[in-house]
Amino acid sequence: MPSAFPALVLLVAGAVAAGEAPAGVAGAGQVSPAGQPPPADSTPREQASGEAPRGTLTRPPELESFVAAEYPPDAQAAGVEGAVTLAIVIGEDGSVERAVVVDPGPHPAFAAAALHAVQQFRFRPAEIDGKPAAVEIEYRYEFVLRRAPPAAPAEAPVALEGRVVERGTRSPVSGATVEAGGVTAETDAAGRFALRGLSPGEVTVRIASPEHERLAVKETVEEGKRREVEYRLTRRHYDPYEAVVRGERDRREISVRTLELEEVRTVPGTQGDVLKVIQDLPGVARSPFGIGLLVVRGSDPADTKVYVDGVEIPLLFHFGGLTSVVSGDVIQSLDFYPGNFGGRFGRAIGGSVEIRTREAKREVHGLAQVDIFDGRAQLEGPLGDGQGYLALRRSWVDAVLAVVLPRVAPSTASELTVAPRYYDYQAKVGLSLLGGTAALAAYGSDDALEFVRQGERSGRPTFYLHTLFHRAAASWRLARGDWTHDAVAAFGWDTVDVLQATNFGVLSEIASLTLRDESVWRPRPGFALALGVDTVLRTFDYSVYAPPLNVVGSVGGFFGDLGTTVGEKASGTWLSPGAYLEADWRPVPRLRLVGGLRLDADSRLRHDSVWLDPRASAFLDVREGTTVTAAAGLYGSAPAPQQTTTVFGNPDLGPQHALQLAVGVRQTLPWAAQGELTGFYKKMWSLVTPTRALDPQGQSLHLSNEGLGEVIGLELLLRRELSSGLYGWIAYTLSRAIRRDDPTLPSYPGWHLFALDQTHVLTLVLSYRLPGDWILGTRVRGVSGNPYTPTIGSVFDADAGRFQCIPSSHPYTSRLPGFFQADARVDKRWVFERWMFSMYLDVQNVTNRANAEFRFPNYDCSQSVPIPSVPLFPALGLRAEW
Amino acid sequence: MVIAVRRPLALLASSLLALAAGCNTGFAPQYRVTDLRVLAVRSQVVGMATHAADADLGDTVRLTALVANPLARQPLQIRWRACAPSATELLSPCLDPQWLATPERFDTPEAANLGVFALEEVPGATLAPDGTWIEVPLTDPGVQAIIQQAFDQAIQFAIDNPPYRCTLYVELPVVVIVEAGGLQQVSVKRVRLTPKSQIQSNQDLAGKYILNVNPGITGLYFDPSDQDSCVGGAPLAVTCDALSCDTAETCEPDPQGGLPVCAPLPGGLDATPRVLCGRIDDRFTQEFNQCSPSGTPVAFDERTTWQWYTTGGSLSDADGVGNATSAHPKLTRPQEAFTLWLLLRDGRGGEAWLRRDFAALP
Repeated sequence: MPSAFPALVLLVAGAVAAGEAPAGVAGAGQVSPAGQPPPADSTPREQASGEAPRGTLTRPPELESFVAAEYPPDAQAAGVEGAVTLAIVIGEDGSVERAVVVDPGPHPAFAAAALHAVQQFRFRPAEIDGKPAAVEIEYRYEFVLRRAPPAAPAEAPVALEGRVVERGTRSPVSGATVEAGGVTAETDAAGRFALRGLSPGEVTVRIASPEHERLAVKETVEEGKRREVEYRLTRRHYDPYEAVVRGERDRREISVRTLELEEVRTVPGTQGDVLKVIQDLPGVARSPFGIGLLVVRGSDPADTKVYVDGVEIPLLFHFGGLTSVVSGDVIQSLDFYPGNFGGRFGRAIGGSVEIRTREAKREVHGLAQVDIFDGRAQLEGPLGDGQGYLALRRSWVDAVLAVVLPRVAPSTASELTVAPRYYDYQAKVGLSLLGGTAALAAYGSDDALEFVRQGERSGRPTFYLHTLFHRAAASWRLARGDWTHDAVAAFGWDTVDVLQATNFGVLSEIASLTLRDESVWRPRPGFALALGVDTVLRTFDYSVYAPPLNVVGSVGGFFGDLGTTVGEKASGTWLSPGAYLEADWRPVPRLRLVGGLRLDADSRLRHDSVWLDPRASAFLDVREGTTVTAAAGLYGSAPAPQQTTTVFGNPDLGPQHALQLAVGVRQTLPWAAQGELTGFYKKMWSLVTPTRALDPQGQSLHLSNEGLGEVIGLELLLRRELSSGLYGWIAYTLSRAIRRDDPTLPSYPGWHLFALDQTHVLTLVLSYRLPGDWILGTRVRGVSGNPYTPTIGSVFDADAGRFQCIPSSHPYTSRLPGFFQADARVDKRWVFERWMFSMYLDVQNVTNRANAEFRFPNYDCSQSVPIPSVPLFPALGLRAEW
Repeated sequence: MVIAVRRPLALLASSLLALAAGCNTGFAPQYRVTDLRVLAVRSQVVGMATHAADADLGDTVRLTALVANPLARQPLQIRWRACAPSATELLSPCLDPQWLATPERFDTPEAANLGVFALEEVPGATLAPDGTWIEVPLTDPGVQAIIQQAFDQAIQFAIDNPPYRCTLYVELPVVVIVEAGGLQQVSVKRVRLTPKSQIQSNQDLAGKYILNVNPGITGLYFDPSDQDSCVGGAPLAVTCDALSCDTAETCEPDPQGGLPVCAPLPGGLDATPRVLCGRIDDRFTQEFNQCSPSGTPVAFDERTTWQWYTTGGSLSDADGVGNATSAHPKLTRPQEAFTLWLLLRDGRGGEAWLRRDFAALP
């Protein structure tokens, strides 16, 4: 008897069991459905309408009324089996609002049959924060030719019982069908099953699960005996890394790009570092040498902030780009806001990156990984009433360099002792508390780099850099009726130590207390009001000494007399309070309006220490699958602390400001693809910029707030999601970013290109999953060359004994040749009974193309040559998990 | 929060740049002098045996340009221009690359309005016949008034800002414009002027800024037994500022302003590559102070650096642009005659040099 075997893959977070479909309801016994619970690694997807439900999924949808699909006679006659994948939007009332065929399966009649059946389904609606909410799920309807087993008598004794688990991960497989001798059972949430009434003798046990390969095992049933067994199913596709589900969250912004970890883990050229993938998204300029600068929509990298679970961290990458400071294994989701972000983010005029760490699993798991840069280990499992994990990573770049450097650069190796190393850690414990959910988390990073030049007589390293940060955070979330409440309190400790022989030193220690709290009130569907505070209190203690700074542009370079040193020592406390109010209103079903105000202040600033930023965005569903968006907002940020030092900065600096405007359209496309086109404009003023102006005492101000900037551009993202073997995206950005310098500089009043202005940034990312747990991927990038300032001559600096190039007074009027690079990657996983082993080979610049990063002049600047970017660079990683 | 992390990153970037510069660029090295070039400019107070580099009001300072002209381009013309300290302009034309790119602007009324003046026109100034040195007395009342105003500002600033008490000097930027045979070279030297008497009379300032003296070189040697300290080896030139020449020798000054050497010179070099080194005259090495943020002076040794130039042959241990700064490079000499210059800088504006001409190999 043929059967259609529907599998429901939930796209919203949570381990839930979908409602069971009634069995054997199809006419002529052709359909024998079985509702399946969503696997733990199901893939989230935002709703096609562009609006995602707020908050946390507290109850998934459950299938209450199943309608069997008719097995197409032609397919049945031909013996064709297969699955149809559909995307279903389930409304707040549990009805199927929309169903779209994502993958029609192997027979042309399957799609229509499945679609017709699914449109008649009835669900118990999902709940977000305890209230019914619309969600989108992925549903797979599998057409299988097999005889429907008759139901077993419930009173019969148990002859065969046991557990079904997944090979490699040892995770229980729930919802699997176990059939033997005409008797069936279904595994529960723990993967357990029991078969009753089996006849004595040898039987074939068949286990079927939509996400796993089928298994058939011969067992011998003995009269009057109960046999205990454990079956291990092989997953059809193992993600090479632990797949993580995340819940849809607020999407109050028109331009937020959410990275699904399953997709981005295997992007070539990133060495598996999910955070590096941000640089492959629209609106982000290519970073020189692949370092981790986030140049977002023409803003300075420092203007984009990074948060982990709502708490700002001072750096995203070890050593400016080697690898991220947060292990991808603990990341639940990553949202990247290239602009027009909502009121909950502040103190930035560029973009924002929000990393959310995941919850630990309740089963004991562990992993170990080594690659060219570092080794890491992770352990997680139950902890008291909750669960927790601990992840540690330590680099061995120092050891690698000790081996490699003498071979590739023997003169450098003999000249320098280089000992870079880093480590980071993440730990988190989740538990229930006071009717809500709470988490305690700790994470941190420690980088150290030391150059020792042979013959250094100062007794100090030639160059020493040590950056360290720790964060310890407690968060609590509560949903009660119309209210949800999120609170985070975090203590932070940052230190930066820099020494350069006798000439330069920075010692700084910052202790911070971050308090974030957001309350959201949803009195009725289509309206929500959010009120939040976002405050950071810092105490600092620093000393800095360096040669006196030269006037910007002066002969002699950045520093003045290298034989003299001036310094500054200071300590104190400063408060950066922030608060916001944001309303989210849907006046008509097709229109959603979000508007709010954010108030920021900074006690460091001597003037203009408080600023108010209104922000608004709108979403209009012009037709099914098409959403038009628009946003406008003001953004402000205080100058960086080093910019307001007395000796080397300007303590009278005020905040920087930006106006950000954007309009766009999002379109759902066939084949699980989406398109997004966004035009943006950004005007920046009061930018901190070098100046030659003097203070009343005749001393250099060093910096002023006289800088201006403008950016205009267009972003296109075509993205196919991870629902089939092929996934990836095409990102293209067309933009122009310009700046105007301080009036005392020779370039004034002219405008010039931003130093990292890249007219065209085109990125293609493709990965394909092959049978046997292979994944092949490629990343191809074509980017305009960076602008540079041409040299018009040179002058001999007699004090330094070298020439200094004289730049044109019109900065950035020349451009390097275009950048083109292709990267490739292959991942392979081997699954064993109780553990898994995987490896990847990630090759950057497979064509070994020499892309120019900058021009290097000869001694008197009469000639120059391009210095190439990263050459062909293979990286190998190995990983074991259990 | 990162305090001033951009600067260390800039330093790190510079280091990486230097590593990148180690790539073979195919450029001619900086150390090889093939045409008109200014190699150094030294400031020294006239009449002081201590090589004093910092001048005060009333002193006469001699500025000497080491000009290499291996092609003997003629006519050689050297102009000396200086920029008066300004209370309103932070970047004087003498240090502004945009001005230095067009040095003819230094002789325009616009330049004069910005405080640019010709050292040759300072009352009492003496210019060498070939222009390679100039002696400028700081006695003219007009000049003294300008400098005194700058001194007063610097003293007040140091009193108000203790970290600057160890760097109490005023820089007088001097532009040296050298032209010969259609080629032009522009060089900048910051001449340190120090209010010695005013510092000594102020108890907050006295003793904190160590007056600089130019360093000294006792000789040029090859194949030393200890390369780092330049001990042993055979001499190629021995200065007579530090040692008494043998009775059969005379102490001959260097027309290019270098240290005088005992003549006749020792034997030359054969075709064998040789390790060279210069020996520092310890009498002129100093400690200097760096002030803490509270103004407490901390003593450091001067960080002396060597620099080598040659009109022929090759030097090892040159950096990415071919700037030979090793204390003991290996020289592979050319077959033909050539000139070798050895420069020593003390990192505080002081410098000395030694020149040796080598005859062609037979």
